[in-house]
Amino acid sequence: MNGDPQSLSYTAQWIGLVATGLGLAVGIGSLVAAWVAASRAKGAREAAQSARQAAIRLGRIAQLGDLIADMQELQTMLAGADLHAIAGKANLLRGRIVRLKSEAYTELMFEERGNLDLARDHLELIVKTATGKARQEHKIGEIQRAYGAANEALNKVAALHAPKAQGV
Amino acid sequence: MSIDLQKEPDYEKIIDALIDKTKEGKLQWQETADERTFLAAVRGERTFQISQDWEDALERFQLVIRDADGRAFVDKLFYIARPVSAAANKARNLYELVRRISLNLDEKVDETVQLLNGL
Repeated sequence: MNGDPQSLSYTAQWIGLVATGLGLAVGIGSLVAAWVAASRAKGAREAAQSARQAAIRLGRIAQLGDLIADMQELQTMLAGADLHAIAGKANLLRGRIVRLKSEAYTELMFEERGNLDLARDHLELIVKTATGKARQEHKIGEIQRAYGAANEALNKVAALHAPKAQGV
Repeated sequence: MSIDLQKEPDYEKIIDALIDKTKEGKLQWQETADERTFLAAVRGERTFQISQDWEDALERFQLVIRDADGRAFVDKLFYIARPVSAAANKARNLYELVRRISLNLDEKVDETVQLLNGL
């Protein structure tokens, strides 16, 4: 080792430069790694959010399917012409539609909300007619027609909601 | 907005709007379980029911308006008596218009004429 102070200074400068370069590279590498990790976390959060929304929509479809199945029970009651049971069932279904609409309000389009309202009000008028003064044979015919309209409205909601639940 | 509580809410204004929108074909009225009651829904925010009935010798029309939760905030009876109020007259016009459209009355009248002509 010679004792030339000029040569020592150059070596020290080179070592310093290389160390700075390495430090910069490590710093950039860390930033890139952090950005990649953050992006992956964001992607995972978005995927989890989408999965949760899809699960909610599928849950709504199941709720609508249950309602439509219960409407079929109402139809069976109509065949039996038990007006007291018909009024009770229609009132119960009306309450479930009110709850469904309120829970799912932000997920529903205008048309879906409107059809739920039609089904709700038809069921209310079925209750009123079933417990009203008209003759029984006349009532059953009127209720059958209103049942058809309420059922059609609910099926429209299910048909409009199904593509959304499948992400279409 | 100041409200004159000595007067009723302006139902005529609502009935006029319902008549206009019905004539424009923007309200889809449906028959219901009660043959004298017709129902229409608007955007899941309001539903409208118009009914016709008799009380003794008086003809009456009932307008029911429900909010998004199904609560009736207007449930108003209009009686056709002498002198006839403007709102009652308009309620009758609305009922007749809605009934004519919901029951396809014009089509049925034509069919009936054809049926009779075929005798």
